[in-house]
Amino acid sequence: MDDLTREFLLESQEGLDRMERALTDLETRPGDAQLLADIFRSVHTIKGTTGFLGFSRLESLSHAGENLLGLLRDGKLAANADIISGLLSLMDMLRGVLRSIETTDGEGESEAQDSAMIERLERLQTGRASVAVAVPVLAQGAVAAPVRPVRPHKPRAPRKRPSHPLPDTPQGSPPPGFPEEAGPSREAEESPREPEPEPRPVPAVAAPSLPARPTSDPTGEVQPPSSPGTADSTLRVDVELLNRMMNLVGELVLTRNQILQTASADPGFALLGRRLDMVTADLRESVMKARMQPVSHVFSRFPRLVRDLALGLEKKVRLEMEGQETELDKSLLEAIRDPLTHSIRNAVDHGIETPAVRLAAGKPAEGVVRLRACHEGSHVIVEVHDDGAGMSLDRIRRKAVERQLVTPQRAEQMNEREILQLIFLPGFSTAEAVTSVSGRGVGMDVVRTNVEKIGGKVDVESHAGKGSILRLRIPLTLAIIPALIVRSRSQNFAVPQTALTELVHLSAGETDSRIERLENAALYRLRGHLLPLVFLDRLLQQSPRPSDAPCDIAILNADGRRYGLVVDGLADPEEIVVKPLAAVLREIGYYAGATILGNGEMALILNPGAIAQNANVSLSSETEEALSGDKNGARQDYLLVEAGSRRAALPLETVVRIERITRSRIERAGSRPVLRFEGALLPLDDAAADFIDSGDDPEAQITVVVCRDGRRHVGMTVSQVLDVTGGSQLQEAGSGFAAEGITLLHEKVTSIVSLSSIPPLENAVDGGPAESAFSLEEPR
Amino acid sequence: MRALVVDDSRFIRNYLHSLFTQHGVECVEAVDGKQGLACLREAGPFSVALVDWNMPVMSGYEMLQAARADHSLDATRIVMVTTEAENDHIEAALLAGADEYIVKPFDEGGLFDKLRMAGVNEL
Repeated sequence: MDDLTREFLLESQEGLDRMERALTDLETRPGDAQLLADIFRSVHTIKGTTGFLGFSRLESLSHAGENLLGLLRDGKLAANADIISGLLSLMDMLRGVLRSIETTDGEGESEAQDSAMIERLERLQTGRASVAVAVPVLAQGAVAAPVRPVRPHKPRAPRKRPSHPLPDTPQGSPPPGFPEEAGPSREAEESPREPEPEPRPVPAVAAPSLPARPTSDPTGEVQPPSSPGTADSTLRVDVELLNRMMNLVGELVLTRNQILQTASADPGFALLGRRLDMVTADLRESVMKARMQPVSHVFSRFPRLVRDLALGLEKKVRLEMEGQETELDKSLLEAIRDPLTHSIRNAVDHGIETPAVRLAAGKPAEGVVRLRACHEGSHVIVEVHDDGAGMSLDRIRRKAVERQLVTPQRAEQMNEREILQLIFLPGFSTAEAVTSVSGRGVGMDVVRTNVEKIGGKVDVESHAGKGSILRLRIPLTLAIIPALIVRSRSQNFAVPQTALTELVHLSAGETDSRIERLENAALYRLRGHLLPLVFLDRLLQQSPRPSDAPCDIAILNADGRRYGLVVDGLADPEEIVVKPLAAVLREIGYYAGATILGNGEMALILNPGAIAQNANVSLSSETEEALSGDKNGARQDYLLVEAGSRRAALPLETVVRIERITRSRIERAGSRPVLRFEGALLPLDDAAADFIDSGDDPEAQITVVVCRDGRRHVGMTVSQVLDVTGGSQLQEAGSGFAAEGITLLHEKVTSIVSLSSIPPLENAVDGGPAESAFSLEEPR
Repeated sequence: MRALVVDDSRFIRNYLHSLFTQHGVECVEAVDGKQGLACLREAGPFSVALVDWNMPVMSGYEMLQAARADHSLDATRIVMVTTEAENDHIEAALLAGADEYIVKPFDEGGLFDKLRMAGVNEL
């Protein structure tokens, strides 16, 4: 394909994209002259250029569209839903032809379709009889313009636009000034918007009334715009090239890592190394940025989708979009296109009620679907929010039981959150929900699988009568991911951290006794739940490890399957650059890519989902496993500790680490004991155990539980860690609310440590008596 | 010689640009009438300006009127290049001071014939 044709395709596609947006806007503002002029021009430009390339199908189609649009633009016809639908189908057809040119170099043939479309557009033109009085489009431009003679329309005349009258002033008359300022803009209805994505700075032009033109250069060397349009500040770059650049930057990052690890004693070298480090980081960021595209690329098609869906379902739905400028890696953007489309279909089809139902519920007849994108750390959040009826928990429960995804007993015991999670199970929504709109054989499980495939997460929230929110959490890029490096038979493997939930270490003697066997399957009992185990050495047919050797179990959660991966040992977590795999390795199916580690060694990146599938880790057992753990509703896992004479519970999710330290490591900030932890000072809560001030052996061992409290870390001294156990909130007598601060563990009422009551360090430095988390609670 | 191309279609601008450059003509481009007029005034002189009719911000017809009202630009031939093919349009353009009127699509030979007819003698 030659450059001109390619240029034509690009420009036409851009024009059609603009037209699509404008058409959906037109629905709410049917008389908007600017929109009409915009749409007219998109089609007009296509028609004007097709002739050069001899695309006759495009020419006749766009010609028919232009005639209709000319009438609309000139206010001889008012836009209505029929006309907009007609124009939208015309647009689809034009797109189809463009696609065909792109892929086959030919327009393709479909004469019947074409003539049907042209006939439809012509029929729509005659529709103006019923709306004889046109929208007064010319309002702003008509003031000083010569009266535009509106000719009676001749059916099937080659041109439907009114003629431009001859100018009143003969040629050479005094300057009328800038038409733009003078007002009598003949095409005032034309949009002031640039058709180009980036308006090029125009050499400053002074209005004629100003005598001096400040920008005139005496030498006359004003840089003329040599190629305006896209060439100004943006450039089209082949994605392949970007991928290659990203790869090279990856290589550079790895080389840098190796250079830094081989640091020489020469101080000059260290300096150079640091500089290399900085430059590489900057370069990496820039290249990653180049791969970013605003989410509006995907969002822009949704107004049309929502419109068509709503029409088909006889609902009234408005789509609001927010954060369209949020940027995301191009490949990820492509990957969320389908899940998002499906979610929006769902929101319109199942979420928003019919106008009658909405009115009856005291809501406005028009429903709102809000699409919102924003950054959150190294992730982009995309939310699909609808103000419909919310999801009926009963119906989900019933359906899940019907489909035998859960047993009736279990379904009864589930809390709201768990029930909502059921919609993501495979087999939940495929069959029943076949309306013409949503039912395409894909359910929310596909949405979840697709999003998880790119390292993202899906979450759903629902409020009865108020609507529901589907939240997608997408990583900013796929090219560099955090991973845990594990070893199996002295080979390194990288496990993506998104799949990793926790790690278990089994020491030499424990291995045999802690791993249970059921028929042929190896299982590990994790806090009472049986997890299937996959031995990496056996899976990869490496030389087997002795059965009583120490090992680590990485608990993984991928594609809805939860299992333990047994490896020989763990190395550090690393940010790894994902490299594509050779076909030979890809076919094995266990690997997602390869990388080079900081020490220069190579590691294959494991694909936790594929491994689970290959090892036949079943989905259903996982589901039951996950669900059975939470029978009693608001159950939570706690770390049960003994501090002095008291027992206390720490919510397990807040526990970062359990450290054994010598007393000499404890420092003082004011009157408060503090511990240096990962480069920061950690306030220690010692009131219950009273270890720090009792006794004076500097070598005495003290156990500190490091917890996360919001954004800070706090430490608690304990005498002993007893257990990790699930407990449920006690109900406050009579109130039905969960009691604050106490829970039932091992049938014993235990106080929960309130981390937020541990005062921040600044207070302690002031010397105020530090209030202890424990001081408020007595053992019960 | 220098030519100014005023068209909101990137395709047309590139097409004309490549035709002109092949013939050793320096080609300057503008995307609408307002920018075109600015170029005529600030980046001239041009032997010829090729102006589309239907453009945003300021149409080619308005640009033509404004340019012809400015006698400092009289030396520049102005040729309308547009898909508008009715006599009404042609008549209006010629009366407003256009030197020639070319209907899209055109081929290379036709374009240069018309330009020579418009009195662009350097070609």
